[in-house]
Amino acid sequence: MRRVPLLLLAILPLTTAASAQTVAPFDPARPTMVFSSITGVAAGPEIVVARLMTFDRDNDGRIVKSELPERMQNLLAADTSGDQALDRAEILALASPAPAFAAAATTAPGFRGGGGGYTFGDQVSLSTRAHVEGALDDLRLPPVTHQNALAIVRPFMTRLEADATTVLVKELEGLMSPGQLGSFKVMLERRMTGQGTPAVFRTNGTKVNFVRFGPDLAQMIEAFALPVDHTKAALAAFDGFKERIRPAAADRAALVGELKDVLSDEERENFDAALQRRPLVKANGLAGVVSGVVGRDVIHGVVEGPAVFRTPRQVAQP
Amino acid sequence: MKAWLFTGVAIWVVSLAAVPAAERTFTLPDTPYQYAYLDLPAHFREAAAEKFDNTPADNPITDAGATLGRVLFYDRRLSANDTVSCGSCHVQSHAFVDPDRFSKGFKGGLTDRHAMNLVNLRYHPRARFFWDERGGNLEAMVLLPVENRLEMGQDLLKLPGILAAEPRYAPLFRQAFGDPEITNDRIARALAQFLRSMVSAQAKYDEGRLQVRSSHDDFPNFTVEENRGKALFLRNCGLCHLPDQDAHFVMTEPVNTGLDDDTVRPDGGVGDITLKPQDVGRFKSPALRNVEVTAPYMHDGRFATLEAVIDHYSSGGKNHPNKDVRVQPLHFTSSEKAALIAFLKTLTDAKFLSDPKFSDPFK
Repeated sequence: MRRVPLLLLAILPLTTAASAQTVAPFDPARPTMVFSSITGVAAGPEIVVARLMTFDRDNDGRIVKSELPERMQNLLAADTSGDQALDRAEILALASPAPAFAAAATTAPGFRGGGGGYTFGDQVSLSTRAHVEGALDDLRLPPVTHQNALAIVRPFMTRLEADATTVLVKELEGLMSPGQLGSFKVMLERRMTGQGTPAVFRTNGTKVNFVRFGPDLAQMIEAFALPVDHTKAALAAFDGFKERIRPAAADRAALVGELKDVLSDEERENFDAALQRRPLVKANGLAGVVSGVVGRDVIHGVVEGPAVFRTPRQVAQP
Repeated sequence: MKAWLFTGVAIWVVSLAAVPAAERTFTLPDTPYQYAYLDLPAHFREAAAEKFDNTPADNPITDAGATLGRVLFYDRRLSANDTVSCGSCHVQSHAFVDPDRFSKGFKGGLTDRHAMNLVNLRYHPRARFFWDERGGNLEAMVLLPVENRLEMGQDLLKLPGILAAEPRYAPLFRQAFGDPEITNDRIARALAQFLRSMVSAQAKYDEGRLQVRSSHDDFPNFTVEENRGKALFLRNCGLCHLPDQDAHFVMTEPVNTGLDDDTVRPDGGVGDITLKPQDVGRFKSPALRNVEVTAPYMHDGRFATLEAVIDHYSSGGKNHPNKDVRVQPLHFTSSEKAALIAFLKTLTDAKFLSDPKFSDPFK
């Protein structure tokens, strides 16, 4: 199997789908995934020192074995000064990156644990239809009620997306050439509809949810090499568009109001609550179709997980 | 009348507890219970689920080994003063948790954490145990409570000799290990085998899962509310609690769920063991199977009910710098909470909770 580091994702701007455009040079410093991992802010070593010093019952600045709970007494093995105690400096050294004995919590051999990043499900695609219809699905409505509700939800989302698109196109009209705008609209349409996105089943029957990465539309705007102020305005317009296609409070209230004759008060309350949530998905559980050119090498294949690249013949076909 | 009856029962209970451990005798079936072979449902046998199994190659479950482990698990002689056994705090009808928030040690002192459940320990892929994951695989972990000065207080140097004084142990060790020698290593291996044999796989959820192609399909044996709860669980909780397969409701890594925003005073969990700043406030999560009967919840038993647990996750927890990014405010409505709880109750495996092969043989 051919394995290529995930860095290959950085070639996304070079996708063949965007080959008709002027392509910006590869910038490794700029993340180009269509979704980004959510990361937290971890605490620093000072909190470990502060925490351990709470065990210093006699306030002598040293933690001795009898002051620690039994489960923590092994920490004394890290006493470097030989005084059978830990002081602030020793604790700080232990709490600083990669303490020598802290490698205990390792993953069992052969198991690839959670790892990877997470992203909001509604960031995977530009469209939020799947999220909205999923929220409706989770209500477990009787089939007729579900169909009646869908008959309201789908046109509502179509209107929401159409209105947002109209505003975006209008804002972009004065900022780029008709040709550029035409190309941008084509790619936008593809991203909104998931057109051409393959669904693949593994040999064991499990489904792989492929995401057509396509070009990052913001980077596509930058690649048009517009005047700086036009680029800035176009990017702002695109950011506004992304906000508008996610039902805001007023949109949610309008949609829930339209469903008044179809859903009960409780169902509408649950639907509204579900729309407000942004469920997470595992970023490395996603897969994407990548195609493009790096130097003279034509790349076309599938990225699945964090570090596995397969050419099309290596994955089951739909 | 009622008062007399209560007093009588109380005296009987006290007299039972007062029976010296050496005088208690155990009864085992003529034909050993089957521990080694498990008739697991299909979703346990899928490759992604099988990867969770932490059984080491050098200590597979045998019927004789787990039988010995069962006797040891319930034998009070494993404590320094013959008053408590592992089973004293890990109660079968409560999925082997202690229904009390904190457990009483052999001298009556209280622990500062809630006893974890012992359900499906075999399927914890990191093979690290205790709330702070300080225990290595089960073989390394099982004797820590035995020698803990608050919990059972036993001197491990003396333990083989204490057990050797019970003549019925020699044949059990012979059947399990080939000769009657009693060692701490063998005690640990037998206990680990018994713990690994405690597999809960016959809940309503499992029956439903067998009837559909995907866990996302509605289960025919579920009520509408249970299916709604399942959908909510899979969308909002499954990423952590049902990772990449459909059998094991277990997290693959310890997590800070925002229980506290104070980084200094509360229990530091994994961080107290590794001294890594990013581990402060991270705790191992017990498997959710049988969660209906494992109250109180969390490492310190702070939540008495499932409703309180769901309220915590619904709020998104407190702002600890190590809080996991997956813990986001979910704002569940009251009917969504009820649906989630209805689903969680489908994970209760009544057969497991009363299976005689996991019961106290000293009764």
